[in-house]
Amino acid sequence: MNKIKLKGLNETVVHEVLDNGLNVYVLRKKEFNAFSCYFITNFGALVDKFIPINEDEMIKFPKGIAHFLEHKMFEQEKGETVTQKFSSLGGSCNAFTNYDYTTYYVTGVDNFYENLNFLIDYVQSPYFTDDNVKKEQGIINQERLMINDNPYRIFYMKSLENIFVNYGYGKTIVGDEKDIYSITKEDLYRCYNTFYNPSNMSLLVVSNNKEEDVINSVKKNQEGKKFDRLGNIKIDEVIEPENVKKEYDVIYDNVIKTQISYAIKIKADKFLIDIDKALLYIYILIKSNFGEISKFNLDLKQKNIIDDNIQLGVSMYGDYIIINLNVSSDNEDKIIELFNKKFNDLNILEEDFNLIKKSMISKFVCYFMSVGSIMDYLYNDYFDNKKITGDTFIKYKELIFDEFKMVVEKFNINNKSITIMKPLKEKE
Amino acid sequence: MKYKKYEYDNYTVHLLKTDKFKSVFVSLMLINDFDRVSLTKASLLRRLLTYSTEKLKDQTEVTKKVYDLYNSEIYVSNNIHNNVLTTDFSIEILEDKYTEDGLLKNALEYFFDTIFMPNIIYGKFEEKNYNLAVKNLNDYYNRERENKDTYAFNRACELLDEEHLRYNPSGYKDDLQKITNESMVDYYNDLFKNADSNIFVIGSFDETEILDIINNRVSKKLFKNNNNFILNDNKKECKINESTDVEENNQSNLIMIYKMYNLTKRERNVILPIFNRIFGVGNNSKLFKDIREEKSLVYDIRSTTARDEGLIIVQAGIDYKNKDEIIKSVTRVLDDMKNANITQNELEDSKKFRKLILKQFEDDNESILYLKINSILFKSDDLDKMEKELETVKLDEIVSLANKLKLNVVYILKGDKNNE
Repeated sequence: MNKIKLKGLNETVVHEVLDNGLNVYVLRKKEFNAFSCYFITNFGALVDKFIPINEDEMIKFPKGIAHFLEHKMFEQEKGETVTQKFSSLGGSCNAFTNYDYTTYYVTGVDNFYENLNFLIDYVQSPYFTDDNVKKEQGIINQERLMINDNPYRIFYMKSLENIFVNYGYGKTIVGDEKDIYSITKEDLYRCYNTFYNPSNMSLLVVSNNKEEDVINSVKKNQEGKKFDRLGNIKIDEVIEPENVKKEYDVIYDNVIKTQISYAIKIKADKFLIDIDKALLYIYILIKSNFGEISKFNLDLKQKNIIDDNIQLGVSMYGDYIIINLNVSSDNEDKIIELFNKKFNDLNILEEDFNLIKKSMISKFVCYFMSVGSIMDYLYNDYFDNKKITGDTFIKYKELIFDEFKMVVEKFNINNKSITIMKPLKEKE
Repeated sequence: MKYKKYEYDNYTVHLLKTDKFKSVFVSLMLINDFDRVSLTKASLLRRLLTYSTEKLKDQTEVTKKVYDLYNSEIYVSNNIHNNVLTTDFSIEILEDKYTEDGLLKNALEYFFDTIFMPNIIYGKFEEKNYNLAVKNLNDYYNRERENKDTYAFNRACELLDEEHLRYNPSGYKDDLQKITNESMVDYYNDLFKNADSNIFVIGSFDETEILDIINNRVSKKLFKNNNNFILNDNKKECKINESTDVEENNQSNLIMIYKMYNLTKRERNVILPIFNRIFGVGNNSKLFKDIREEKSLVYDIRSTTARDEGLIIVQAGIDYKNKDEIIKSVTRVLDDMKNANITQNELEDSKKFRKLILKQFEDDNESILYLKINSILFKSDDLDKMEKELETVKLDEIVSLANKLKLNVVYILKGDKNNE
C-alpha cells in the first residue's frame, strides 16, 4: 500500500496494485454519507485493431465495439438483473464509454461493501449470447439516431475529425449502423478477455470507510477468481503527423445559424516544459485573449459579429494540444480574418494571467465539497495519466508569469483547421 | 445543522449554519404573480442585471470582478411554481480561510450591487448592454427549436387543459419585440415592490456579521407582501389532447402528460416520488424494463413529476413507426400499477433509492438550501420529515396514487428522416 498525496489539497489517496495487477485507489472522506466507486478498463472507442489475448494476429473489429461491450456487461446469466441487484442494495449504477476508457460505476449511501463487491463481480462475469447481442442492436441503434439528431455533437465530432489524420478522435463512439449490426458475441468475448483483465483495469473509490478495509475487501473479492496472465496488449500503433487532415470544411445540419470551429493543432512537446503545464499556460493565453475577460470578445458581440461568447476548448489528444474556438455568426469570413489577426497580436497581461489563475485555483476548493466532485477530480487525473498522480492542483499553483511568456513565444497557428456548419436551408 | 429565522418588516432571513462545506451559499428569493409577458421580461432582466452594474460597466469588467472574487459568480434563475414566478438571485462564496480575508464581505457587496445597483442611466438601462441582452435573448428564442427535447416538452405543455398556465418559462420572441427599455425599468422596480422576499444563507459564517451586511443592503429595497402560491388540484375532468408536429430529425420525441386528481398532502410529498421511481425513473423502472429491456423499442424512456402542478410527464426518443406500440405499452404499464401489479420488492427498492437521493442531498449545500426553500415557501416537507415518512409508505398507497392519473396530452415531434 502506498500513499499518494494530493499536493496542496491536504488529501491523500491510498493505492495498491493487487497480485492480479488490478490498481485500487481509495480516498476517504469521513464527513460525507455517500460513496462513489468507478471500475475502469483502459479500453475505449479509439481501439478497434489489436491482437486478442492468446492469439497471434492483429484483428480489426467493428467500430463501436467498446461501447457495445459496455451495454452488454449489464447482462447476467441468471437471477436478478444488474440494475435490480443494485436497486435492492440501494445503489445507483451506470456506465459510460469515451475514446480511451470504459467506466462502470455505482453511487450510494448504504451497503457500501455489498455495492462495491457487486460492481466488481458483475463486470467480471460476462454473459453474451446471440440473442442478447441481437436484442441490444436495436437499442444501440436508437442511441445512435439520438446522437445524430444533435447537430452540435455532430459539429464537434466533425471538427475533431478534420484535425486528425490518423488518430480516431472525432470518429463515432457508438459505431455506424453497419458496425452495430455486425457485432457478434464472439467479438465481444475476444475484446472482453483482452481488455477486462484486472491488470488493464483500475478501481477508484471515494467513501467514508477506512482505506485499508476497502482494499482488503477488494483483495478478498479477487482471491477467488482466476484470470489469464496478460502481457502488454498489442494495439495497432497510430502515428499522428503535425499537419491537420482538412484545413477547411463545410457541413450542413439542422441549425438556425452558422457555426464556426477554428481549431489549432500543436505538438505538445515543442514547449520544452511539463506538458500539463504547457496546456494550462495555453489555456490562460486563449482565455485572456478570447474569453469573457477579453475586450476582443466583447467587441465582437457589441458589433453583432458573433451572437454569444466565444466558446473555448484547450485539451490534450494523444501527443497534441488542440485549441478550439467556436462561435455562432453570419459572417464566417470576417470571423476567420479577425481570429487570424488576433492570433498575430496576442495580449499577455500579468493582471489577466493572475486573475485567471485565481479563478482556476478556486475550482479545486469546490471539488472537495461533495463525493461526486471528488470523484470527478480523481477521474480527471486518471483520464490524463492512466493513474492517479496527485499533481493536478499543485501544477496550477506553480504557474508563473515568466514561464507563461516563454510558452507564448513558442506558440504558433501554423496547423489550423476550420469547420463550418451551415443551416440545411442554405444547402438548397 | 442549526436553523434560525429572522422576520423583519419587509422580508425574512433564514440562516442554516453548518461547517460541512467550504463555502457560504446565499439566495435572495422573490415570489411574484405573473402573466405571459412577464416571463419574457424576467428572462431579459436576468441578462440585464448580470451583464453590467452601476460600478462594473460591461461584461469584461464583471468577469474580472468574478475571477478576483474566486469565481463567486451570480446566477439569476426564474421558475414557475404553478401560479407564481420565482426570481432567485444566488451566489456561492468560498470561505475566507480557503481564500483570503474579506472575501465574504466583498463578494456580498458585489452580489447586492448586482441586484440593487443596475446600470440604469436617465431612466433606461445603459444602451449597449441593453442591446446585447435583447440580442442574446432573441438568439436564444431562435435556437429554441434546435433542442428537440425542450421544444417538444414546451409544445406538449401548450396542449394541457386551461387550468394549467401552459406557458414557456423562458418567455416568447413576439413578446420580446413589444418590450421597451423603459418598460424593463418599470418591471425591475415593480419586481421588488410586489414580491414576497426571503433571503437564505447556508454555510459557516458569523451570524451578526452576515445579518448586518444583509440588513444594511436590503432593508430599504424590499417591501412587505404575501405570496399567492397555491398547489394545483386539477379539478377539471380531462380528455386526451393529441397533436403531432414534424421536424427534420432521425428520431421522434414522444411526450405523454398525465394529470393527477385530488392529491392529498401526503401523496404529493411522500408517495409521488416513490411511485414515480417505480414507474419511470432510472434503469430499474417499469417503463425502462418493459419498453427498452424487454421490447428493445427505445434507448431512453423516463417519467418526471411536476409536484406543484400535479402532473407526471413521460418522455421518450422513439422510432415513429413504433409509436402506437410504445403508447400502448406505457398505458399498459400504468394500468398494471393501477391493478396493484407491484411487488413488495419494487416498493422497497424505490424507498432505498429515495433514501439514497435524500442522503445525497444532505451532502450538498445547494440541495439542502433549496429543500428548505421548498418546505418554507412551497408547502413541501423538510428533509427530516421526508426521511421519516419514507419508511411508512405502503403498496396500497402507490396503487391508490396510480388510480389518480388521467392522460391529458399525447404529443409527438415526428422525425421525418428515418420513417418514410
